[in-house]
Amino acid sequence: MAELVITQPGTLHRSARLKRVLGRDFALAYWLIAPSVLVLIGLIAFPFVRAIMLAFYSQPIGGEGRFIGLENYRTLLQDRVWWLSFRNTLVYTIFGVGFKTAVGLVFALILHQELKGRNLLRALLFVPWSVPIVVDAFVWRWIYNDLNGVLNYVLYKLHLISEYVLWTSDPKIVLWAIIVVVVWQGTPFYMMNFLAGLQSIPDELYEAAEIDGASPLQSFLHVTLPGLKSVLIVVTLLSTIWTSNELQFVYILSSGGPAHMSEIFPTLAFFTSIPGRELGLGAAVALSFFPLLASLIVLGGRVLLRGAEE
Amino acid sequence: MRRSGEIRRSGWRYFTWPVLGVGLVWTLFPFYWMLTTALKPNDDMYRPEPLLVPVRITLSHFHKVFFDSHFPEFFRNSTLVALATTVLSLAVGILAAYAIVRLDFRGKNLIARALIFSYLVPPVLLFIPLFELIFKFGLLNTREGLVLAYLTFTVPFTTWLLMGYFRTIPVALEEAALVDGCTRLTALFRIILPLSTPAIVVTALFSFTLSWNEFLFALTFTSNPVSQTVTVGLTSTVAEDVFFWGVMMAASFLIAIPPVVLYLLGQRWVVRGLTAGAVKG
Repeated sequence: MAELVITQPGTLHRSARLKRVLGRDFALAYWLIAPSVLVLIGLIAFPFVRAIMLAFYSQPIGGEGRFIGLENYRTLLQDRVWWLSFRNTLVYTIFGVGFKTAVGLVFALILHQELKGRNLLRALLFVPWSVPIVVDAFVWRWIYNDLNGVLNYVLYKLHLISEYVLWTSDPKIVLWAIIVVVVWQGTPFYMMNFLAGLQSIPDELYEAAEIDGASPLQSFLHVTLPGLKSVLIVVTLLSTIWTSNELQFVYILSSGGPAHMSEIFPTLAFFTSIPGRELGLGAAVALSFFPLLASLIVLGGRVLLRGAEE
Repeated sequence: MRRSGEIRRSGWRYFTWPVLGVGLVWTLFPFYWMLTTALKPNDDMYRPEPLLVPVRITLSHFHKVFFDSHFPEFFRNSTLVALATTVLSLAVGILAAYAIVRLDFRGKNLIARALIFSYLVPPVLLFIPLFELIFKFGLLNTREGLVLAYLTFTVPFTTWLLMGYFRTIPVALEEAALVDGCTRLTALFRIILPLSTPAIVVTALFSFTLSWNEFLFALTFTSNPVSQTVTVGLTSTVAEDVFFWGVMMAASFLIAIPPVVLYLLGQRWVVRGLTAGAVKG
Protein backbone atom coordinates (compact mmCIF):
# COMPACT_ATOMS: atom_id res chain seq x y z
CA MET A 1 0.00 0.00 0.00
CA ALA A 2 2.71 2.45 0.99
CA GLU A 3 4.64 1.71 -2.18
CA LEU A 4 1.64 2.74 -4.26
CA VAL A 5 1.64 6.19 -2.72
CA ILE A 6 5.27 6.76 -3.58
CA THR A 7 4.72 6.14 -7.29
CA GLN A 8 2.29 9.06 -7.48
CA PRO A 9 4.48 12.09 -8.19
CA GLY A 10 2.69 14.99 -6.45
CA THR A 11 2.18 13.17 -3.16
CA LEU A 12 5.76 12.03 -2.73
CA HIS A 13 6.79 14.92 -0.58
CA ARG A 14 3.84 14.82 1.72
CA SER A 15 4.02 11.09 2.17
CA ALA A 16 7.72 11.21 3.02
CA ARG A 17 7.05 13.88 5.62
CA LEU A 18 4.14 11.94 7.09
CA LYS A 19 6.32 8.88 7.29
CA ARG A 20 8.95 10.80 9.19
CA VAL A 21 6.37 11.98 11.72
CA LEU A 22 4.12 8.95 11.97
CA GLY A 23 6.61 6.16 11.33
CA ARG A 24 7.66 4.15 8.30
CA ASP A 25 4.62 1.86 8.19
CA PHE A 26 1.96 4.20 9.53
CA ALA A 27 -0.50 3.76 6.65
CA LEU A 28 -0.86 0.01 7.03
CA ALA A 29 -0.36 0.05 10.80
CA TYR A 30 -3.24 2.43 11.46
CA TRP A 31 -5.59 0.23 9.49
CA LEU A 32 -4.46 -2.83 11.39
CA ILE A 33 -4.84 -1.32 14.84
CA ALA A 34 -8.09 0.51 14.04
CA PRO A 35 -10.44 -2.25 15.29
CA SER A 36 -8.58 -2.68 18.57
CA VAL A 37 -8.40 1.08 19.09
CA LEU A 38 -12.15 1.17 18.54
CA VAL A 39 -12.61 -1.44 21.28
CA LEU A 40 -10.11 0.27 23.59
CA ILE A 41 -11.73 3.67 23.22
CA GLY A 42 -15.38 2.84 22.67
CA LEU A 43 -15.81 -0.08 25.04
CA ILE A 44 -13.15 0.52 27.69
CA ALA A 45 -11.82 4.10 27.89
CA PHE A 46 -15.12 5.86 27.25
CA PRO A 47 -17.10 3.69 29.69
CA PHE A 48 -14.31 4.07 32.23
CA VAL A 49 -14.51 7.88 32.06
CA ARG A 50 -18.29 7.68 32.06
CA ALA A 51 -18.19 5.59 35.25
CA ILE A 52 -16.16 8.28 36.97
CA MET A 53 -18.57 10.97 35.76
CA LEU A 54 -21.61 8.96 36.84
CA ALA A 55 -20.37 8.96 40.41
CA PHE A 56 -21.15 12.70 40.48
CA TYR A 57 -24.61 12.30 38.98
CA SER A 58 -27.99 11.22 40.12
CA GLN A 59 -28.86 8.89 37.27
CA PRO A 60 -31.82 6.53 37.57
CA ILE A 61 -32.11 3.84 34.87
CA GLY A 62 -33.89 5.31 31.84
CA GLY A 63 -34.34 8.65 33.63
CA GLU A 64 -32.84 12.11 33.39
CA GLY A 65 -29.32 12.50 34.79
CA ARG A 66 -28.61 15.37 37.19
CA PHE A 67 -25.21 16.63 38.33
CA ILE A 68 -25.11 16.54 42.11
CA GLY A 69 -21.40 16.95 42.87
CA LEU A 70 -20.27 14.97 45.88
CA GLU A 71 -23.81 14.19 47.04
CA ASN A 72 -23.46 10.45 46.24
CA TYR A 73 -20.37 10.24 48.38
CA ARG A 74 -22.02 12.14 51.22
CA THR A 75 -24.89 9.64 51.09
CA LEU A 76 -22.48 6.72 51.16
CA LEU A 77 -20.35 8.06 54.01
CA GLN A 78 -23.47 8.38 56.15
CA ASP A 79 -24.63 4.90 55.21
CA ARG A 80 -23.96 2.10 57.69
CA VAL A 81 -24.11 -0.45 54.85
CA TRP A 82 -21.28 1.33 52.99
CA TRP A 83 -19.10 1.22 56.10
CA LEU A 84 -19.92 -2.46 56.62
CA SER A 85 -18.98 -3.15 52.99
CA PHE A 86 -15.81 -1.14 53.46
CA ARG A 87 -14.75 -3.31 56.37
CA ASN A 88 -15.89 -6.54 54.70
CA THR A 89 -14.09 -5.78 51.43
CA LEU A 90 -10.85 -5.17 53.33
CA VAL A 91 -11.17 -8.33 55.43
CA TYR A 92 -12.27 -10.37 52.41
CA THR A 93 -9.37 -9.18 50.25
CA ILE A 94 -6.60 -9.24 52.84
CA PHE A 95 -7.45 -12.67 54.23
CA GLY A 96 -8.39 -14.06 50.83
CA VAL A 97 -5.08 -13.02 49.26
CA GLY A 98 -3.10 -13.89 52.40
CA PHE A 99 -4.43 -17.44 52.72
CA LYS A 100 -4.20 -18.05 48.98
CA THR A 101 -0.52 -17.05 49.10
CA ALA A 102 0.22 -19.28 52.10
CA VAL A 103 -1.66 -22.37 50.91
CA GLY A 104 -0.48 -21.90 47.32
CA LEU A 105 3.12 -21.75 48.52
CA VAL A 106 2.76 -24.95 50.56
CA PHE A 107 1.20 -26.80 47.60
CA ALA A 108 3.90 -25.49 45.26
CA LEU A 109 6.73 -26.55 47.58
CA ILE A 110 5.18 -30.00 47.94
CA LEU A 111 4.82 -30.44 44.20
CA HIS A 112 8.32 -29.12 43.53
CA GLN A 113 9.86 -32.47 44.32
CA GLU A 114 10.42 -35.67 42.47
CA LEU A 115 7.06 -37.29 43.12
CA LYS A 116 5.26 -40.15 41.46
CA GLY A 117 2.44 -38.84 39.30
CA ARG A 118 3.41 -35.22 39.75
CA ASN A 119 1.74 -34.11 36.52
CA LEU A 120 -1.50 -35.82 37.44
CA LEU A 121 -1.42 -34.28 40.92
CA ARG A 122 -0.80 -30.87 39.45
CA ALA A 123 -3.69 -31.26 37.04
CA LEU A 124 -6.04 -32.41 39.82
CA LEU A 125 -5.07 -29.61 42.20
CA PHE A 126 -5.72 -27.17 39.39
CA VAL A 127 -9.38 -28.08 38.83
CA PRO A 128 -11.14 -25.62 41.22
CA TRP A 129 -9.61 -22.71 39.39
CA SER A 130 -10.60 -23.88 35.94
CA VAL A 131 -14.27 -24.40 36.80
CA PRO A 132 -16.57 -21.39 36.38
CA ILE A 133 -16.74 -19.50 39.70
CA VAL A 134 -20.53 -19.72 39.66
CA VAL A 135 -20.28 -23.50 39.73
CA ASP A 136 -17.69 -23.43 42.52
CA ALA A 137 -19.90 -21.13 44.55
CA PHE A 138 -23.05 -23.21 44.07
CA VAL A 139 -21.29 -26.45 45.01
CA TRP A 140 -20.17 -24.81 48.24
CA ARG A 141 -23.58 -23.35 48.88
CA TRP A 142 -24.91 -26.91 48.81
CA ILE A 143 -22.07 -28.15 51.04
CA TYR A 144 -22.84 -25.32 53.51
CA ASN A 145 -26.60 -26.02 53.41
CA ASP A 146 -28.07 -25.69 56.93
CA LEU A 147 -30.20 -28.85 56.98
CA ASN A 148 -28.92 -31.22 54.34
CA GLY A 149 -25.40 -29.90 53.91
CA VAL A 150 -22.61 -32.42 54.11
CA LEU A 151 -20.29 -30.16 56.12
CA ASN A 152 -22.61 -29.93 59.13
CA TYR A 153 -23.29 -33.65 58.99
CA VAL A 154 -19.63 -34.66 58.87
CA LEU A 155 -18.50 -32.20 61.55
CA TYR A 156 -21.38 -33.29 63.80
CA LYS A 157 -20.56 -36.97 63.34
CA LEU A 158 -16.93 -36.27 64.20
CA HIS A 159 -18.13 -34.42 67.32
CA LEU A 160 -16.41 -31.24 66.17
CA ILE A 161 -19.66 -29.30 66.52
CA SER A 162 -22.48 -29.96 68.95
CA GLU A 163 -25.21 -28.42 66.82
CA TYR A 164 -25.60 -27.53 63.17
CA VAL A 165 -23.89 -24.27 62.16
CA LEU A 166 -25.63 -21.75 59.90
CA TRP A 167 -22.56 -21.25 57.72
CA THR A 168 -24.02 -18.66 55.39
CA SER A 169 -26.67 -17.08 57.60
CA ASP A 170 -24.84 -16.59 60.88
CA PRO A 171 -23.65 -12.95 60.85
CA LYS A 172 -20.41 -13.84 62.66
CA ILE A 173 -19.49 -16.73 60.39
CA VAL A 174 -20.75 -15.87 56.91
CA LEU A 175 -17.81 -13.76 55.69
CA TRP A 176 -15.29 -16.37 56.83
CA ALA A 177 -17.28 -19.16 55.21
CA ILE A 178 -17.08 -17.19 51.95
CA ILE A 179 -13.35 -16.53 52.34
CA VAL A 180 -12.83 -20.29 52.65
CA VAL A 181 -14.41 -20.75 49.21
CA VAL A 182 -12.39 -17.86 47.76
CA VAL A 183 -9.19 -19.48 49.01
CA TRP A 184 -10.25 -22.92 47.81
CA GLN A 185 -10.96 -21.59 44.32
CA GLY A 186 -7.96 -19.28 43.95
CA THR A 187 -5.15 -21.37 45.44
CA PRO A 188 -4.39 -23.32 42.22
CA PHE A 189 -3.50 -20.12 40.36
CA TYR A 190 -0.99 -19.21 43.07
CA MET A 191 0.33 -22.74 43.19
CA MET A 192 1.02 -22.87 39.45
CA ASN A 193 2.79 -19.53 39.44
CA PHE A 194 4.87 -20.34 42.51
CA LEU A 195 5.78 -23.67 40.96
CA ALA A 196 7.03 -21.91 37.83
CA GLY A 197 8.96 -19.53 40.08
CA LEU A 198 10.53 -22.38 42.07
CA GLN A 199 11.65 -24.08 38.88
CA SER A 200 13.55 -20.99 37.86
CA ILE A 201 15.73 -21.03 40.99
CA PRO A 202 19.05 -22.63 40.00
CA ASP A 203 20.00 -25.82 41.87
CA GLU A 204 23.50 -24.44 42.42
CA LEU A 205 22.13 -21.96 44.92
CA TYR A 206 20.75 -24.78 47.06
CA GLU A 207 24.02 -26.67 46.75
CA ALA A 208 26.00 -23.62 47.80
CA ALA A 209 23.68 -23.13 50.77
CA GLU A 210 24.20 -26.73 51.81
CA ILE A 211 27.98 -26.47 51.54
CA ASP A 212 27.80 -23.42 53.77
CA GLY A 213 25.93 -25.56 56.29
CA ALA A 214 22.49 -24.01 55.91
CA SER A 215 19.55 -25.83 57.50
CA PRO A 216 16.47 -26.54 55.34
CA LEU A 217 14.72 -23.61 57.03
CA GLN A 218 17.66 -21.31 56.34
CA SER A 219 17.86 -22.30 52.70
CA PHE A 220 14.10 -21.71 52.43
CA LEU A 221 14.47 -18.23 53.95
CA HIS A 222 17.62 -17.22 52.09
CA VAL A 223 17.34 -19.04 48.76
CA THR A 224 13.71 -19.96 48.08
CA LEU A 225 11.95 -16.81 49.26
CA PRO A 226 14.31 -14.32 47.57
CA GLY A 227 14.09 -16.42 44.38
CA LEU A 228 10.32 -16.21 44.50
CA LYS A 229 10.20 -12.49 45.19
CA SER A 230 9.23 -11.29 41.73
CA VAL A 231 6.60 -14.01 41.26
CA LEU A 232 5.17 -13.24 44.70
CA ILE A 233 4.86 -9.56 43.85
CA VAL A 234 3.16 -10.11 40.49
CA VAL A 235 0.76 -12.75 41.75
CA THR A 236 -0.36 -10.97 44.90
CA LEU A 237 -0.68 -7.67 43.04
CA LEU A 238 -2.87 -9.06 40.26
CA SER A 239 -4.80 -11.24 42.66
CA THR A 240 -5.55 -8.29 44.95
CA ILE A 241 -7.13 -6.48 42.00
CA TRP A 242 -9.12 -9.55 40.96
CA THR A 243 -10.12 -10.75 44.43
CA SER A 244 -11.36 -7.37 45.66
CA ASN A 245 -13.51 -6.96 42.54
CA GLU A 246 -15.05 -10.41 42.35
CA LEU A 247 -18.71 -10.48 43.30
CA GLN A 248 -19.75 -14.03 42.41
CA PHE A 249 -18.81 -15.74 45.67
CA VAL A 250 -20.76 -13.32 47.84
CA TYR A 251 -23.62 -12.94 45.37
CA ILE A 252 -24.25 -16.69 45.22
CA LEU A 253 -23.36 -17.81 48.73
CA SER A 254 -25.10 -15.13 50.76
CA SER A 255 -26.30 -12.24 48.54
CA GLY A 256 -24.38 -10.06 50.97
CA GLY A 257 -26.58 -11.06 53.88
CA PRO A 258 -27.63 -11.59 56.56
CA ALA A 259 -28.27 -7.89 57.10
CA HIS A 260 -25.29 -6.94 54.88
CA MET A 261 -22.86 -8.75 57.14
CA SER A 262 -21.07 -10.16 54.09
CA GLU A 263 -21.72 -7.25 51.72
CA ILE A 264 -18.67 -6.12 49.73
CA PHE A 265 -18.33 -3.19 47.35
CA PRO A 266 -18.82 -5.20 44.13
CA THR A 267 -22.12 -6.71 45.33
CA LEU A 268 -23.28 -3.41 46.82
CA ALA A 269 -22.47 -1.66 43.52
CA PHE A 270 -24.51 -4.23 41.61
CA PHE A 271 -27.50 -4.19 43.96
CA THR A 272 -27.54 -0.38 44.06
CA SER A 273 -27.23 0.17 40.32
CA ILE A 274 -29.21 -2.61 38.64
CA PRO A 275 -31.97 -3.91 40.97
CA GLY A 276 -31.86 -0.55 42.83
CA ARG A 277 -31.85 1.34 39.50
CA GLU A 278 -29.51 4.10 40.78
CA LEU A 279 -26.65 4.05 38.28
CA GLY A 280 -24.91 7.12 39.71
CA LEU A 281 -24.89 5.91 43.29
CA GLY A 282 -23.86 2.44 42.10
CA ALA A 283 -20.91 3.91 40.20
CA ALA A 284 -19.89 5.82 43.32
CA VAL A 285 -19.92 2.52 45.27
CA ALA A 286 -17.90 0.74 42.55
CA LEU A 287 -15.36 3.56 42.73
CA SER A 288 -15.11 3.54 46.54
CA PHE A 289 -11.60 2.14 46.47
CA PHE A 290 -10.67 3.88 43.25
CA PRO A 291 -7.45 5.64 44.34
CA LEU A 292 -6.15 2.39 45.81
CA LEU A 293 -7.34 0.34 42.85
CA ALA A 294 -5.90 2.77 40.30
CA SER A 295 -2.49 2.62 41.95
CA LEU A 296 -2.65 -1.18 41.93
CA ILE A 297 -3.55 -1.17 38.23
CA VAL A 298 -0.72 1.22 37.38
CA LEU A 299 1.73 -0.80 39.47
CA GLY A 300 0.51 -4.10 38.01
CA GLY A 301 0.68 -2.75 34.46
CA ARG A 302 4.26 -1.58 35.00
CA VAL A 303 5.33 -4.96 36.35
CA LEU A 304 3.72 -6.77 33.41
CA LEU A 305 5.31 -4.38 30.89
CA ARG A 306 8.71 -4.81 32.49
CA GLY A 307 8.26 -8.60 32.36
CA ALA A 308 7.43 -8.42 28.66
CA GLU A 309 10.44 -6.28 27.82
CA GLU A 310 12.95 -8.62 29.45
CA MET B 1 21.43 -32.92 40.57
CA ARG B 2 20.57 -35.69 42.95
CA ARG B 3 22.16 -33.94 45.86
CA SER B 4 20.10 -30.81 45.40
CA GLY B 5 16.96 -32.93 45.07
CA GLU B 6 17.79 -34.44 48.43
CA ILE B 7 18.33 -31.07 50.01
CA ARG B 8 14.98 -29.85 48.87
CA ARG B 9 13.29 -32.99 49.97
CA SER B 10 14.87 -33.35 53.37
CA GLY B 11 12.80 -30.77 55.23
CA TRP B 12 9.59 -31.84 53.58
CA ARG B 13 9.85 -35.59 53.45
CA TYR B 14 7.65 -36.29 56.42
CA PHE B 15 5.03 -33.77 55.42
CA THR B 16 4.71 -34.51 51.73
CA TRP B 17 2.15 -37.29 51.63
CA PRO B 18 -0.01 -36.18 54.58
CA VAL B 19 -0.19 -32.64 53.20
CA LEU B 20 -0.88 -33.92 49.71
CA GLY B 21 -3.62 -36.17 51.04
CA VAL B 22 -5.33 -33.32 52.87
CA GLY B 23 -4.81 -31.07 49.85
CA LEU B 24 -6.38 -33.55 47.46
CA VAL B 25 -9.41 -34.18 49.66
CA TRP B 26 -9.85 -30.44 50.21
CA THR B 27 -9.54 -29.75 46.49
CA LEU B 28 -11.57 -32.62 45.09
CA PHE B 29 -14.24 -33.47 47.66
CA PRO B 30 -16.56 -30.64 46.52
CA PHE B 31 -16.51 -32.08 43.01
CA TYR B 32 -17.17 -35.58 44.32
CA TRP B 33 -20.11 -34.11 46.21
CA MET B 34 -21.35 -32.28 43.14
CA LEU B 35 -21.33 -35.40 40.99
CA THR B 36 -22.86 -37.74 43.57
CA THR B 37 -25.58 -35.20 44.33
CA ALA B 38 -26.38 -35.01 40.64
CA LEU B 39 -26.80 -38.79 40.57
CA LYS B 40 -28.75 -39.30 43.82
CA PRO B 41 -32.56 -39.60 43.92
CA ASN B 42 -34.22 -36.82 45.95
CA ASP B 43 -35.24 -39.29 48.70
CA ASP B 44 -31.59 -40.02 49.40
CA MET B 45 -30.60 -36.37 49.34
CA TYR B 46 -33.03 -34.59 51.62
CA ARG B 47 -32.81 -36.73 54.72
CA PRO B 48 -31.32 -36.06 58.15
CA GLU B 49 -28.29 -38.23 57.44
CA PRO B 50 -26.99 -37.49 53.93
CA LEU B 51 -25.46 -40.51 52.20
CA LEU B 52 -21.75 -39.95 51.69
CA VAL B 53 -21.71 -42.73 49.11
CA PRO B 54 -24.76 -42.98 46.84
CA VAL B 55 -26.59 -46.28 47.13
CA ARG B 56 -29.02 -45.67 44.30
CA ILE B 57 -28.15 -43.91 41.06
CA THR B 58 -30.59 -41.94 38.95
CA LEU B 59 -30.23 -39.94 35.76
CA SER B 60 -33.49 -38.09 36.41
CA HIS B 61 -31.72 -34.82 37.30
CA PHE B 62 -29.73 -34.90 34.07
CA HIS B 63 -32.90 -35.80 32.22
CA LYS B 64 -34.57 -32.74 33.69
CA VAL B 65 -31.64 -30.51 32.70
CA PHE B 66 -31.79 -31.71 29.11
CA PHE B 67 -35.53 -32.01 28.52
CA ASP B 68 -37.42 -30.05 31.14
CA SER B 69 -35.51 -26.82 31.71
CA HIS B 70 -34.11 -23.79 29.93
CA PHE B 71 -30.60 -25.22 30.00
CA PRO B 72 -30.49 -26.24 26.33
CA GLU B 73 -31.14 -22.56 25.53
CA PHE B 74 -28.53 -21.41 28.06
CA PHE B 75 -25.99 -23.79 26.53
CA ARG B 76 -26.78 -22.59 23.03
CA ASN B 77 -26.43 -18.94 24.11
CA SER B 78 -23.16 -19.53 25.93
CA THR B 79 -21.71 -21.42 22.98
CA LEU B 80 -22.73 -18.79 20.42
CA VAL B 81 -21.58 -15.86 22.54
CA ALA B 82 -18.26 -17.50 23.42
CA LEU B 83 -17.59 -18.52 19.81
CA ALA B 84 -18.44 -15.09 18.39
CA THR B 85 -16.34 -13.37 21.04
CA THR B 86 -13.41 -15.67 20.33
CA VAL B 87 -13.49 -15.20 16.56
CA LEU B 88 -13.88 -11.43 16.79
CA SER B 89 -11.18 -10.94 19.38
CA LEU B 90 -8.78 -13.16 17.45
CA ALA B 91 -9.37 -11.15 14.28
CA VAL B 92 -8.90 -7.86 16.08
CA GLY B 93 -6.00 -9.19 18.14
CA ILE B 94 -3.99 -10.74 15.31
CA LEU B 95 -4.01 -7.55 13.24
CA ALA B 96 -3.16 -5.30 16.17
CA ALA B 97 -0.48 -7.61 17.57
CA TYR B 98 1.23 -7.85 14.19
CA ALA B 99 1.23 -4.08 13.74
CA ILE B 100 2.59 -3.44 17.24
CA VAL B 101 5.33 -6.06 17.04
CA ARG B 102 6.49 -5.61 13.44
CA LEU B 103 5.51 -2.24 12.04
CA ASP B 104 7.01 1.14 12.71
CA PHE B 105 4.43 3.77 13.59
CA ARG B 106 3.87 6.55 16.03
CA GLY B 107 1.91 5.64 19.15
CA LYS B 108 2.61 1.95 19.26
CA ASN B 109 4.02 2.03 22.76
CA LEU B 110 0.94 3.94 23.85
CA ILE B 111 -1.31 1.21 22.43
CA ALA B 112 0.75 -1.54 24.04
CA ARG B 113 0.41 0.23 27.38
CA ALA B 114 -3.28 0.89 26.92
CA LEU B 115 -3.82 -2.80 26.25
CA ILE B 116 -2.12 -3.98 29.40
CA PHE B 117 -3.81 -1.41 31.63
CA SER B 118 -7.25 -2.16 30.22
CA TYR B 119 -6.61 -5.85 30.84
CA LEU B 120 -6.28 -4.96 34.53
CA VAL B 121 -9.43 -2.80 34.74
CA PRO B 122 -11.94 -5.00 36.57
CA PRO B 123 -15.42 -5.52 35.06
CA VAL B 124 -16.98 -4.06 38.21
CA LEU B 125 -15.82 -0.61 37.07
CA LEU B 126 -17.28 -1.09 33.59
CA PHE B 127 -20.60 -2.84 34.01
CA ILE B 128 -22.62 0.29 34.85
CA PRO B 129 -21.52 2.46 31.89
CA LEU B 130 -21.66 -0.58 29.59
CA PHE B 131 -25.20 -1.18 30.79
CA GLU B 132 -26.08 2.38 29.68
CA LEU B 133 -24.34 1.86 26.35
CA ILE B 134 -26.01 -1.48 25.63
CA PHE B 135 -29.35 -0.10 26.80
CA LYS B 136 -29.02 2.86 24.41
CA PHE B 137 -28.18 0.61 21.48
CA GLY B 138 -31.22 -1.53 22.30
CA LEU B 139 -29.00 -4.54 22.89
CA LEU B 140 -30.20 -5.54 26.36
CA ASN B 141 -31.29 -9.19 26.37
CA THR B 142 -29.39 -9.96 23.19
CA ARG B 143 -26.38 -12.14 22.57
CA GLU B 144 -24.84 -9.35 20.49
CA GLY B 145 -24.83 -7.10 23.53
CA LEU B 146 -22.95 -9.72 25.52
CA VAL B 147 -20.39 -10.22 22.75
CA LEU B 148 -19.69 -6.48 22.73
CA ALA B 149 -19.20 -6.48 26.50
CA TYR B 150 -16.97 -9.57 26.42
CA LEU B 151 -14.64 -7.92 23.92
CA THR B 152 -13.59 -5.58 26.76
CA PHE B 153 -11.63 -8.38 28.39
CA THR B 154 -10.84 -10.70 25.46
CA VAL B 155 -9.33 -8.12 23.08
CA PRO B 156 -6.61 -6.76 25.43
CA PHE B 157 -5.81 -10.25 26.57
CA THR B 158 -5.72 -11.85 23.09
CA THR B 159 -3.62 -9.05 21.61
CA TRP B 160 -1.17 -9.17 24.49
CA LEU B 161 -0.70 -12.93 24.27
CA LEU B 162 -0.22 -12.85 20.51
CA MET B 163 2.25 -9.97 20.75
CA GLY B 164 4.36 -12.10 23.05
CA TYR B 165 4.27 -14.96 20.59
CA PHE B 166 4.89 -12.95 17.41
CA ARG B 167 8.01 -11.51 19.05
CA THR B 168 9.52 -14.99 19.23
CA ILE B 169 9.25 -15.52 15.45
CA PRO B 170 12.50 -14.50 13.71
CA VAL B 171 12.14 -11.36 11.61
CA ALA B 172 14.46 -12.91 9.01
CA LEU B 173 11.69 -15.25 7.84
CA GLU B 174 9.50 -12.35 6.92
CA GLU B 175 12.24 -10.22 5.46
CA ALA B 176 13.03 -12.94 2.97
CA ALA B 177 9.42 -12.94 1.85
CA LEU B 178 9.29 -9.15 1.68
CA VAL B 179 12.39 -9.09 -0.49
CA ASP B 180 10.69 -11.61 -2.76
CA GLY B 181 7.91 -9.10 -3.26
CA CYS B 182 5.35 -10.21 -0.67
CA THR B 183 3.28 -7.48 0.91
CA ARG B 184 3.17 -7.14 4.69
CA LEU B 185 -0.30 -8.65 4.81
CA THR B 186 0.70 -11.66 2.71
CA ALA B 187 3.67 -12.16 5.01
CA LEU B 188 1.33 -12.06 7.99
CA PHE B 189 -1.09 -14.61 6.58
CA ARG B 190 1.40 -16.89 4.79
CA ILE B 191 4.30 -16.87 7.24
CA ILE B 192 3.41 -15.57 10.69
CA LEU B 193 0.00 -17.14 11.14
CA PRO B 194 0.93 -20.70 10.15
CA LEU B 195 3.89 -20.52 12.52
CA SER B 196 1.65 -19.23 15.31
CA THR B 197 -0.98 -21.95 15.16
CA PRO B 198 -0.25 -23.27 18.68
CA ALA B 199 -0.44 -19.76 20.17
CA ILE B 200 -3.63 -19.00 18.27
CA VAL B 201 -5.23 -22.23 19.43
CA VAL B 202 -4.33 -21.53 23.06
CA THR B 203 -5.52 -17.93 22.80
CA ALA B 204 -8.79 -19.14 21.31
CA LEU B 205 -9.23 -21.67 24.13
CA PHE B 206 -8.71 -18.86 26.57
CA SER B 207 -11.14 -16.39 25.07
CA PHE B 208 -13.71 -19.12 24.83
CA THR B 209 -13.36 -20.14 28.48
CA LEU B 210 -13.25 -16.57 29.78
CA SER B 211 -16.46 -15.82 27.89
CA TRP B 212 -18.08 -19.10 28.91
CA ASN B 213 -17.31 -18.46 32.60
CA GLU B 214 -18.30 -14.78 32.64
CA PHE B 215 -20.99 -13.81 35.10
CA LEU B 216 -21.36 -10.11 35.98
CA PHE B 217 -22.05 -8.80 32.45
CA ALA B 218 -24.46 -11.63 31.72
CA LEU B 219 -26.25 -10.98 35.01
CA THR B 220 -26.54 -7.27 34.24
CA PHE B 221 -27.41 -7.32 30.54
CA THR B 222 -29.70 -10.34 30.20
CA SER B 223 -32.83 -11.29 32.09
CA ASN B 224 -34.55 -14.04 30.11
CA PRO B 225 -33.68 -17.44 28.63
CA VAL B 226 -33.59 -16.01 25.09
CA SER B 227 -30.17 -14.53 25.77
CA GLN B 228 -29.06 -15.77 29.20
CA THR B 229 -25.88 -17.83 29.37
CA VAL B 230 -25.23 -20.92 31.48
CA THR B 231 -23.72 -19.00 34.38
CA VAL B 232 -26.70 -16.69 34.99
CA GLY B 233 -29.04 -19.45 33.90
CA LEU B 234 -27.83 -21.46 36.87
CA THR B 235 -28.72 -18.70 39.33
CA SER B 236 -32.15 -18.21 37.79
CA THR B 237 -32.92 -21.91 38.27
CA VAL B 238 -32.75 -21.62 42.06
CA ALA B 239 -36.06 -19.85 42.43
CA GLU B 240 -38.05 -22.31 40.35
CA ASP B 241 -38.00 -25.42 42.52
CA VAL B 242 -37.79 -26.22 46.22
CA PHE B 243 -35.82 -29.41 45.76
CA PHE B 244 -33.46 -28.08 43.17
CA TRP B 245 -30.07 -29.34 44.29
CA GLY B 246 -30.02 -32.48 42.16
CA VAL B 247 -30.78 -30.51 39.02
CA MET B 248 -28.42 -27.70 40.06
CA MET B 249 -25.51 -30.06 40.54
CA ALA B 250 -26.26 -31.94 37.30
CA ALA B 251 -26.31 -28.63 35.42
CA SER B 252 -23.19 -27.42 37.26
CA PHE B 253 -21.36 -30.56 36.24
CA LEU B 254 -22.27 -30.05 32.58
CA ILE B 255 -21.33 -26.37 32.68
CA ALA B 256 -17.93 -27.18 34.15
CA ILE B 257 -16.96 -29.73 31.49
CA PRO B 258 -15.91 -27.45 28.60
CA PRO B 259 -13.62 -25.15 30.62
CA VAL B 260 -12.06 -28.00 32.60
CA VAL B 261 -11.29 -29.93 29.43
CA LEU B 262 -9.90 -26.85 27.69
CA TYR B 263 -7.77 -25.89 30.69
CA LEU B 264 -6.34 -29.35 31.09
CA LEU B 265 -5.41 -29.25 27.41
CA GLY B 266 -3.62 -25.94 27.69
CA GLN B 267 -2.60 -26.10 31.34
CA ARG B 268 0.99 -24.95 31.10
CA TRP B 269 0.02 -21.99 28.97
CA VAL B 270 -2.85 -20.90 31.11
CA VAL B 271 -0.95 -19.44 34.00
CA ARG B 272 1.84 -18.04 31.90
CA GLY B 273 -0.79 -16.35 29.76
CA LEU B 274 -2.69 -14.83 32.65
CA THR B 275 0.30 -13.12 34.09
CA ALA B 276 1.05 -12.21 30.49
CA GLY B 277 4.65 -13.34 30.38
CA ALA B 278 5.66 -11.59 33.59
CA VAL B 279 6.59 -14.87 35.20
CA LYS B 280 9.39 -16.63 33.48
CA GLY B 281 9.03 -20.42 33.48
